[in-house]
Amino acid sequence: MSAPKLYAAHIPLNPISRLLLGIGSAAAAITDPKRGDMVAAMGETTALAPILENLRKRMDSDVVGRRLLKEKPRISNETIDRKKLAALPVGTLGKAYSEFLERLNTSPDARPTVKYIDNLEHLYVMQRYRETHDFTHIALEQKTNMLGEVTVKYFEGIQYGLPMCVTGGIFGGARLKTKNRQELLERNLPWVVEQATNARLFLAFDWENHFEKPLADVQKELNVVPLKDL
Amino acid sequence: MKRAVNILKNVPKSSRNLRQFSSAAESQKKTTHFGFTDVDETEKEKKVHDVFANVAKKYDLMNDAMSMGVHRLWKDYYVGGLQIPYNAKILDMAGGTGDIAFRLLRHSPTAKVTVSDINQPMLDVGKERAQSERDIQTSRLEWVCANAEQMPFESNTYDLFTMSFGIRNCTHPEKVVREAFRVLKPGGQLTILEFSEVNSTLKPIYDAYSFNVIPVLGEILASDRSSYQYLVESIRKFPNQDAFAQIIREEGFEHVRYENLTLGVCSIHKGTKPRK
Repeated sequence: MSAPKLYAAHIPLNPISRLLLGIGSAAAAITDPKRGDMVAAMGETTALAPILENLRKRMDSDVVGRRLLKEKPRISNETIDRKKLAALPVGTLGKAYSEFLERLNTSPDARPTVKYIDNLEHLYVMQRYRETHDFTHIALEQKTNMLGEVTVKYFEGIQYGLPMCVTGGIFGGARLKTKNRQELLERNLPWVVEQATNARLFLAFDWENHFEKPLADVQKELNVVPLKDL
Repeated sequence: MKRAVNILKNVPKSSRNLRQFSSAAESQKKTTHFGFTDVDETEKEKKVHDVFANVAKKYDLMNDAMSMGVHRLWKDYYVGGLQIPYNAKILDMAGGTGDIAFRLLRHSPTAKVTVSDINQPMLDVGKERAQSERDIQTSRLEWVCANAEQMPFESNTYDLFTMSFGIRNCTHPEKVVREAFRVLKPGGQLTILEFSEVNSTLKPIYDAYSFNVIPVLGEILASDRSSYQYLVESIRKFPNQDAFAQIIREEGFEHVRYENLTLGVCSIHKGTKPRK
């Protein structure tokens, strides 16, 4: 049909299919943001090679980021010890992650696998983005309601430049009702824009090695000031 | 005349031991096609079952999306072209969600239809639809979960056998036709609507549409690209118009003919069980 399969979950798409999937998944995601598979598909089809390459280069120019790209560690049910996380003291990154997963009744493997990326290096960047999205929520202390998701999308859009994050932020924000929209525009957005420009590149951070640290320390290391502290 | 030993010249030495050949043949199971992949015959039924169990709820939506509503016209024409006798007993095989059964009841006020399908979830969707359609008398319908290759129906029972977009999913279509022959009364009609070989000028566009658009539509509308990938592949593996007509003839039907719809995208095959 098209290009050869590069990895197990790979579904190579030719340009027509890719365009169709991009448009269709965007429409599906906007009408029903709960369709995680459509949000994921839209993210992958719109993550054009130059954008992912730019992101990969920026990861590579960070010491920790370069190690991540070389070793390609995964955040999955296999690599994450849920029991150990739950036993950590309250206020640590690991405990916060454990509570996050419990609250949503989900697990690291619940994220869709990357299927539509045609380059192995870019595959890891995309997979890492998907697997660390939860940590972005935790570090920014943003809930997973619509307002929180939009705020995180703006952060990711500014830091990573992925089209899905930028459009997700804009269109997701447009869906908010008056009260939340006001809060987004007056409070969350000015704050998150400043955080995104000043903070370290989240994608180049090795979250899994900092589970025992207090969340406040991790935030300092990332150069993030939580909204509630302003 | 060549010396016998020369025949074996091109066979690698390791395979020349004939005993090796026969044991290899014994261990080889019968395979068939599941779309473009080869599977054991016993596996195909299960894989097809899984496809339809997954698509059941979105089946009608996907049919509309993929054919842009045209499947309704095909089915209208298919049923409209039938001569249904008074008080007819009709068997609608692979009748799943009821599209054909409902049309049959509307076309003939006295007919009774047995809707049969190997897949229970599809029948469940059909039963629900029958309840919500106001002009359908559910008393004229009976829903039976059964395998088309081995039907639990008495011989010589039905006036009409219909099957729409189902036979290509059966592991042995000829067995289905054979069973249809058995359960039909002498003089009974067989009529099958199925995807077939498209006109060669249309083929490039049809293929492009099938392989590029349909699986993507499946992914977007039903979160299931692989079932729709199977769909477009299975269409290409099914015998073409003439080959299928021959199969029907070989099972004993007479006056076998077919009619292409939409330049061969699908085809209606008909046959009559001889009166004896």
